[in-house]
Amino acid sequence: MPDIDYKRLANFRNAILTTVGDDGYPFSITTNYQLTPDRKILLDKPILASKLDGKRVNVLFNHITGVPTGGYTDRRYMLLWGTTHEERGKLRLEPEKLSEWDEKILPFPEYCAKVAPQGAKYLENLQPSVEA
Amino acid sequence: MKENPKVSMLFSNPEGTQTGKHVVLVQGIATADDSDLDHGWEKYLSYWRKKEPYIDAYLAEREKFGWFWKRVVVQVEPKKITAWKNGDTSRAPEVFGA
Repeated sequence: MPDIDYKRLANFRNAILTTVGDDGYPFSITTNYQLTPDRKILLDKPILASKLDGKRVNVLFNHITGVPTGGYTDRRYMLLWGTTHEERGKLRLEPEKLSEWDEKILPFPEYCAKVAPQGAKYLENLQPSVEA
Repeated sequence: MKENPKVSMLFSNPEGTQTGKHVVLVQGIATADDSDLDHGWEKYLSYWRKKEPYIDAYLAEREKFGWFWKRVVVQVEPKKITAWKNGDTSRAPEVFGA
């Protein structure tokens, strides 16, 4: 169970649920969400052809504010990976993994420095398939 | 992406996508062109400028933002478009394509 800051998680407009559909394509949809006092994450159940009960998903909560003169500010996201379970007409997200960034907590240059090793590792892993 | 080109793009945030309140999901087949990271994207600059006119200020100082201006061009051939009018995903969407 990841260490989730529920106070910050409550501060988004909506959630974007992503899963892989029966046709093999990734499928994303926005939906509303609620946090319960006992720290359950409940998503409104979108109308979909595929069942989402027991499905592996990721759920993105994000925000960005445009600056009129150019660029953006107040960039932040929380991305939760886990499984959804149908529960009383809602989808309860059982989170297993979290990645997040909030530029008010970690400014962009520091964030880049922090995740550079992760990027390097990704490129190292990718290299054999590029050379193949 | 080269191994599995099935992708989707969700346009849902009015701030970034300028789609108003509507929500549009495009699913398709992606082609990644990484043959010229420094100049391969330049032919699309007019589209970029239309969305973010201030990009020219960054472009003028291109040498300061080396990695920012290295770009892989990803083209997506749409196969299916799913649209929720006014972003109401509790209602059945309109579906175009496959």
